[in-house]
Amino acid sequence: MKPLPFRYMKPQTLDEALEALGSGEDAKVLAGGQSLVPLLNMHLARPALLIDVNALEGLSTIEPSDAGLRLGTLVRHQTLLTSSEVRRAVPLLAEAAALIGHEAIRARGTVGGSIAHADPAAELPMVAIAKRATIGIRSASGSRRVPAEEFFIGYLMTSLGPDEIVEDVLFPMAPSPSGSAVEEFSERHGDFALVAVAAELSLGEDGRVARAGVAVAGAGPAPAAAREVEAALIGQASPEGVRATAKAVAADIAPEDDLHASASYRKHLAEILAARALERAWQRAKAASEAR
Amino acid sequence: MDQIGRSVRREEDRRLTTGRGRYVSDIVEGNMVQLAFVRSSRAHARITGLDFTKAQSMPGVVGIFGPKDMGEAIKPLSFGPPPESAMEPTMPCPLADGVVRHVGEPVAVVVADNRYIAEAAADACEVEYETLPAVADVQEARKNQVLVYPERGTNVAAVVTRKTGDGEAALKRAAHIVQETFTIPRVVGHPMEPRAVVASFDPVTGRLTVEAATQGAHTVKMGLAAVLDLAPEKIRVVVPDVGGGFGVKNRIYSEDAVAAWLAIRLGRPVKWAGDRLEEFLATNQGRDQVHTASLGVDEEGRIVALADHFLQNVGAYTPEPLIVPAQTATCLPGPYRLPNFEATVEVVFTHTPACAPYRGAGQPEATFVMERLLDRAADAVGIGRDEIRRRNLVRPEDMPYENGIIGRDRQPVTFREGDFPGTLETVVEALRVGTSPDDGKLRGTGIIDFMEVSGGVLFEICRLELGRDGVVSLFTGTSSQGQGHRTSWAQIAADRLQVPMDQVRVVEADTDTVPMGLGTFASRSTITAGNAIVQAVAPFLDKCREEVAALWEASPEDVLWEDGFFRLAGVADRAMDLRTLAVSRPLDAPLVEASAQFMDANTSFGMGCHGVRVAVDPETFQISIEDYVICHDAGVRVNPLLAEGQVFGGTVQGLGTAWYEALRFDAQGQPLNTSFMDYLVPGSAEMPDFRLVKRDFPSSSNPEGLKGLGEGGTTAAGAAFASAVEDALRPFGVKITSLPVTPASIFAQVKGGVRP
Amino acid sequence: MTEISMRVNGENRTVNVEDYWLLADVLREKLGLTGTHLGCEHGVCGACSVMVDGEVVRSCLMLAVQADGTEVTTVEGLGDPDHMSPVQEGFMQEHGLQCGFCTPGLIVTATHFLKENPHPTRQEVREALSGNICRCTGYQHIVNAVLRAADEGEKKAPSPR
Repeated sequence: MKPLPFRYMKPQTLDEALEALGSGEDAKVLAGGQSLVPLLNMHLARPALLIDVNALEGLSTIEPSDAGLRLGTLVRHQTLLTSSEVRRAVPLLAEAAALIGHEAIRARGTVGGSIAHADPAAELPMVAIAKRATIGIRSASGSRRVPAEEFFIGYLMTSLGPDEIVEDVLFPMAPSPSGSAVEEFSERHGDFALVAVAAELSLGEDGRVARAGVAVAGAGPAPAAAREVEAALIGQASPEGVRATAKAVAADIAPEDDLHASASYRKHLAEILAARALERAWQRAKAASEAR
Repeated sequence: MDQIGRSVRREEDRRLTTGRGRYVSDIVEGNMVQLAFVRSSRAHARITGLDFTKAQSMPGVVGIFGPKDMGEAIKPLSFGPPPESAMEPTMPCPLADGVVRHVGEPVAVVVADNRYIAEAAADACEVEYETLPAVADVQEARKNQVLVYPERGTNVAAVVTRKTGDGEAALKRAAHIVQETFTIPRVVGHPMEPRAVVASFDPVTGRLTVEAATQGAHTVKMGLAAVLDLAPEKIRVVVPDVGGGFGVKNRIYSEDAVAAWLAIRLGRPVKWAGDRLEEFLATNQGRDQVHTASLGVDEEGRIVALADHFLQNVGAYTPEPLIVPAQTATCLPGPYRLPNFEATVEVVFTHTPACAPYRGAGQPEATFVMERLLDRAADAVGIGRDEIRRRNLVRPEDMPYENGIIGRDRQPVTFREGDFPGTLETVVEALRVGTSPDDGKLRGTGIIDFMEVSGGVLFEICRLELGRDGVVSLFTGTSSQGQGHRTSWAQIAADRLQVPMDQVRVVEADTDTVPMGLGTFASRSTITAGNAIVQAVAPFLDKCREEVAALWEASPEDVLWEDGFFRLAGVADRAMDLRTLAVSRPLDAPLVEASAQFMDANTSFGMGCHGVRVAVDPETFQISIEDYVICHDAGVRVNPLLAEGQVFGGTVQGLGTAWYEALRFDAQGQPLNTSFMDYLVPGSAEMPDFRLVKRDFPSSSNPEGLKGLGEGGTTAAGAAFASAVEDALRPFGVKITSLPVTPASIFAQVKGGVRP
Repeated sequence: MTEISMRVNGENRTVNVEDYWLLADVLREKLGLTGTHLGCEHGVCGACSVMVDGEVVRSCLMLAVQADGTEVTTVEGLGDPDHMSPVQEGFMQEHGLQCGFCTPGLIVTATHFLKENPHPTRQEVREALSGNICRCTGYQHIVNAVLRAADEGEKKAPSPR
């Protein structure tokens, strides 16, 4: 199927884009198009106006700072894979990006697009939750930053207003020594995950887990922080101990039965994948600690 | 030079790899309009109103037509004579005549300047429905609480039975009886090219020309003649490059009839290029059987009896009503010695798209049931899964072996050649090679046998014509959708004519070139067209001999044909090849042509064996295939490389059904997974590299020893995959009785994933 | 209607397009480049893959207006029947295609992949092509074709036309 007619604009400045977005017309923002265009083709999205933000300057930047790694909304998935900056500052992002679709999808798909689309099985929203990232949001009337956990509120639903745009995502740096890992289960290479888990651990001076960020995708209407697991991780000092905390993940997620998997299978996978991700994250954190 | 048996590369690949193919959707003609269909959003409803007002006024819309506009052309499509005559086809009208019976049935059609406008206008058409109760599940439908055709009083369209020996009654003599219920779900064929048609009408000649993505040019021609009340000679159907078929493009569809009707009505070329959603909703689907089957064996595991009661969901319309269920019933015994057999199938209507022949057409279902039962019986007897097969396969000394069932050629099923136990041993041996890493995964193997039924369906005609340039044109009614007929047919003709391959030009699937053709399906084309080609060569050469004799002023009996040259008996230096003959003939000499019609009266059977080793993650139940060995009797291989491609491709399609594919419907008949995001098909990363072991036995059923091989891979893969996965999961006691075998379906059985 | 200009297979092309038309349809219907096929129109099957500014994209997921000012390479631009590229030749020699409908997308994807990874393993090839569905071949001959092209590339650097 092919898109139904819409009006198209390609603003040259963010202000121009925001003005159009705030005009009250039924508008959608087009970035990489890898989620939106299928919806247009299937007539599931029927906007009157499409605002193509690809020409906007300054939204493709990758900026490391003390506060963390700031990714402009137009940074492409493929860039997350190839950027040494990203790999150094937030290795979790590079590892997760490798699992996004196929190269043809990654070449176009953007960080902001994935965050705003908020597919519950998508990798970047999950990493944003695990990293306690904040989403920079702009509208004609101003800007605000929202913690990822408050941003993703339901199935394909975010706290983004109709006149707002995702401007950037800020991923805080983990206190070192740290290690991270992503584990994903999909039926075929490149598919959306049935369930995925992202984990990052920082060790304290005593070699024990001092800080943990764990998130689960594909096990509920939105990506979820595994708070019970995170709490259980603090103070753990062995791979077995770290693995064992995965059992708590069931309390953190609320999957439902659907066409592809039962809720109980998703819970089961979340636990298995959490254990695997945590063990690898632990080993990496340990290696980082020993390298110091 | 011998051409048969060489892996000649396909000439069309120069075009197809460089973007110079010509598929129906690529065709552009002056003044052409495009179609989009308004399709039913309900599985069962009465249409109480159609309002095109809003859509009609959209710029670029040429017209919108409903069933009333089509008048006389609104009548059930005709498929032609069905091979099984026990039941008439139940076909849809080109546009639904008041009642819709599945989601996606065409209700009205938009004609517009391009497909974008047509789709937008179709979207704006308003259809008023009186929703009626619907039923999609075959077991529900059999309860007859909701009727697809109330006037019939039942959803059971037909009952077919096959029986040999004492049938089911013999089960009581068995030492072990294993019984299971097996489910093979609804799947979608999904050639990568969606169906498409371009129709144009020439008012000068009064002829309709239709270019269609079809497996049967003459089938479409006859179907159009019937629905449009046109004389068949007023219709020409031509088949350009076709992007896959797999059985589902082997009929006339509503869209073909509507496009042709509009071409006449509007006097403009009309194109309908369907899309993926339309493939999900409006193209024949396959499988969808539920079996309750019992196998009885003696103390040593020798088969005593097989009994099977099964249901075939045929959807709302059945273009070829009994082909699939009858073929399943016929193929259940497989390549085994089986003294007592009974199968009964109930063919059941539901409010779903037509479920009809799709690659394998009943054979994969039969093989899954029989091979699963043999695995069970082996466990019951306490012998290996390969051993039980060894003890039951038909042996060379049993041949010719008649199993007592009448096949699709209306002859008793007879295995005339092959070494079935030898084929099994070959695969067992091959699969032993190779080791697996010690990585904590569970491993299992599956070794299953199958029988590929090929040909045995009517006839093809081959016409040979000598061109002025010496090129021999070969015309036949088959239709390639990727099989590479142009190459294989040219190989056969060049071999027998003893000319280089480029001296043969193959023209197939153009109804103006041969009076009749059946098309490409049922793994019949190589057998039927191949023998027809060979049989056309002799009369063609006779004609040539007469021409040579005329040139030499000799008697035709004195003209000999040797090594590609005509020679005059007793005269050493008089020789002439075909090319010289062609250019030497006077301009007023009559056309040199000859044809032959080969009636494929006897089905060919090719036995094969698949052996597969899988690894299963004991925590997630992710499956990977580590080794896959195939032995598949292909008779005489005309082109071994193309033959290998058919086997590999067929096997991967079978693995799709085995591993991923199932179209699900809700209780109201709404299909739930109609995109490639939700309906998975095999991808390159998970598919294995196959190892092919060759043991070929030329067919005794046709003069050239040819066999079909396009369906055997699909037939075998589901049974092999299920067997291997179940073997790997022995520690969990998992029993696989339905497809697809997904990690989620395994988890549902092991409940919690903890090894007991 | 918007006027867009692209450099397509080395030629400058200017064309008026509706804003909501997909790049795939403009290539096929306005520029006559019907080698790019539409197999699903939802970004999964990969038949419509083309290169835009050197990257492989799904032309069913890109609006034609977005391709204004870009350099586009389709399967037609990689070779012609008399001058096939190593990948195209590989597909022919290894029987890497049957119906040929998915083939253009696979050839574009494989060509780009071999530029990035000239000496791949079988599994790397399989993963690189996993976003392109082929329903006919079972993939094995396609993998052979790409590896053959890689071997050819070693002998002589491919010269994209």
